[in-house]
Amino acid sequence: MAEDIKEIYDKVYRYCFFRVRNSSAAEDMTQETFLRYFAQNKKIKHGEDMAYLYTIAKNLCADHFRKKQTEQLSEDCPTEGFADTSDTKVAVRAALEKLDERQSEVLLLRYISGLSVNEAAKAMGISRFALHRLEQSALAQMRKYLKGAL
Amino acid sequence: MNLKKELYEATEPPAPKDRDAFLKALPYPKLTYPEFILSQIGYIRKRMWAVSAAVLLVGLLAVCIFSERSATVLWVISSLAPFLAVFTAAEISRSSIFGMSEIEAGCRFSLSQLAGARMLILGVCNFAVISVSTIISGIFSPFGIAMSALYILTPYVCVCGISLAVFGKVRGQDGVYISGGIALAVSVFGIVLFSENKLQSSVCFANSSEFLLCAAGTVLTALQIKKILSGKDIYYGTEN
Repeated sequence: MAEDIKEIYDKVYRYCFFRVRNSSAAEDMTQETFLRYFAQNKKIKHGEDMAYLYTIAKNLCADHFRKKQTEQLSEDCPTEGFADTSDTKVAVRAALEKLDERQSEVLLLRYISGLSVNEAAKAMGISRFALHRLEQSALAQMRKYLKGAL
Repeated sequence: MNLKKELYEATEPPAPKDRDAFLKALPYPKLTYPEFILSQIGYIRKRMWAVSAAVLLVGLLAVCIFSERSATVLWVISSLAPFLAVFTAAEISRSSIFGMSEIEAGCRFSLSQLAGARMLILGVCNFAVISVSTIISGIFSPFGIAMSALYILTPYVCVCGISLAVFGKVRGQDGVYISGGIALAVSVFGIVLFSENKLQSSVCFANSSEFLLCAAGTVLTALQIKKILSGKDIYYGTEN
């Protein structure tokens, strides 16, 4: 395996946690992602394999919210569960929340999960060029929100 | 503000609780040692295979040119052996960085295992080349297989041992130049001092001195390999 499996686990967990904001649920999803992945594959390599892992995780997160829709959701604090609660970090998270889904997804994959441009583009099913444009617009939007907040 | 760094730090989740237990129990097929060794073949430079093939081809060419049973066949192959040794030593001592995958593999397998895998691959390759060359030389020269093996192995093991020692001390291109110079010197020394006539007139002397040199070279090579496998002398630079 090209990359240490613990590192991949942490990346997928970070992704799931950001989506569901619950460490137990995020960990369950991460483990489910690995089980589903290894049911069909022998090894994890960079590139398409990493994109495939994130696609599984993304679908599991979507399933999680679909199930939750039938229940009455309480108004959760958007920063609940995150380790750092300093003003800057809270502002960054709030700005990230304001982005549209594709913009937050690209930042999540590129800077929070640490995927390469190729891997992120494959995970999102778009070209490298489209990903670059989306990433730049997301960062610009983030800066704009943060300028007002800080 | 470094936004990219802030994004990462702001989304730091709580540490996963069951990660280690889950991964320990996860029945994913881990990379086996033979698979690891095979994966290392891809990181050996093409020029290494080209040099190995060239030694064999030149040996065969010498057989074709000197069709009679001639000592020249042995000396041609013997004079090329030092260069095979230099390329082998350089290959063992380097790590070509294309995506850092071999270093990542090293994280799982340790640097000694990585070096050991590389030595195993190159050793098998060189053994094949030297064996075939020895057989060719044994058949087409008047010295027989045992003496041919001695005369091909001596420059090979001497240069291999010296080159590994050089690469342990001198990094990068400088090490390649020094080892290349040593290989050239040994090659020329072999051709000039142990020319066909001299060898035939003093076979016993040549045999004993070659045997001693071969033994010394083998000991030196073994010591260097031991040093590399113990992890004391592994250099992973970016020489290319």
